[in-house]
Amino acid sequence: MNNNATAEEFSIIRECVNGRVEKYALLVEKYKVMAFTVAYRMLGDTDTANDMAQESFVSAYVGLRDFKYNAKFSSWLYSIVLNKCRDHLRDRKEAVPVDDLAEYLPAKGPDPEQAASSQQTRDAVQKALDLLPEPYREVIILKHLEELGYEEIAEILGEKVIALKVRAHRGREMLKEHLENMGVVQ
Amino acid sequence: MNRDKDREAMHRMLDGDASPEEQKVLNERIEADPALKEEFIKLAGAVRMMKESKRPVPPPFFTAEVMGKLPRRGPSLVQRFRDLFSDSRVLRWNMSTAAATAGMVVIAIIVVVLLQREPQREPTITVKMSYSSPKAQSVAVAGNFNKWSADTHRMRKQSNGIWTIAIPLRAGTYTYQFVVDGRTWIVDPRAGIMQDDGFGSRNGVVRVNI
Repeated sequence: MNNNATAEEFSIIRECVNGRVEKYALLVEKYKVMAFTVAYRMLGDTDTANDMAQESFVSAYVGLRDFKYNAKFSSWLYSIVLNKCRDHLRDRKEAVPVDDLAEYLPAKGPDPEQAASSQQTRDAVQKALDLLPEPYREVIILKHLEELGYEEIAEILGEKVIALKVRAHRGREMLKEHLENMGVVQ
Repeated sequence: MNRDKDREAMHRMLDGDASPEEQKVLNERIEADPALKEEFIKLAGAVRMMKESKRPVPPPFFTAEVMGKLPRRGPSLVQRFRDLFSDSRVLRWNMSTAAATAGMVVIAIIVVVLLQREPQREPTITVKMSYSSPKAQSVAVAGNFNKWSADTHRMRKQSNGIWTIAIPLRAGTYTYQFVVDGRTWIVDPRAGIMQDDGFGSRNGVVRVNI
């Protein structure tokens, strides 16, 4: 993003802070695909990704008064989206395990054909990403899907570049293994 | 070069960190080692799949839904105050606003000039008075310059039993008496001019000319 674009975004942010809420639609429109994509790749589910991406924009708006004008809005938004996703994944883990519920529920579920069809709709990349531990998934998404530099990723995740490079190395190995096991890369 | 170093070089290449020399060496290693070549193709293939993966499309009313969820509120008072000084704004002038502003500037200048002027102080002359009373415990001077107070102008006793005081007075005529031990009013026996006080006694008179 060039300096003009950054200055334009800062101007929009100032207008929003000064009460011109309608201006925020410009930022939402510009970054909605990015926020939705990152949320979807983190969570693997379009409905939840939609909720998390929308919540991220609302949280960003509420926090606009604290926005630091020495960083890009997009970097700030990435960190908010990832935080929302982490919170959601943590809540999902803390929910009652399906096995524990099984004995209380009637033994009825989707038929095998329906389940297979649902699985097929999810692309191989998403399946492989789902298998990555979250810290590796975050780095792989930011580096190879969003194609960000390590400096910006370090700013978004609040970690050191060297640590992120090590994590990307391991994440790529895991990604390759999962795709190999699926027979996608040979 | 061992396999771990080969892997490290492959990842440096995928990160875009490998120098042209490193890339050349790695390419030669890959061409010479089929197992390494296979591993690199798979690794690069996984990265390429990520880059080329389809970007999901947000629902059609995404922006409208976000905008509908935003809290409606104006800027805080602190923010408004801060913006008053920090935000750039265009000032629109006409003759009446220009005249009002000029008037305010003139008034401000006059006020500053007046405040900076030294206040005119009326000149005074220090008048010295003395009264001899070696046995007295206290002696004060009371007159029309201190509203005949017997407490405010206490005299100081010298070693020879003479009580003295120095009082700055502006131009004018002053009448006075001494008050010994807080109760006995004495007419100054050395006063050059005396004046009846209207109650059967007399006051000393001091004339100050500047």
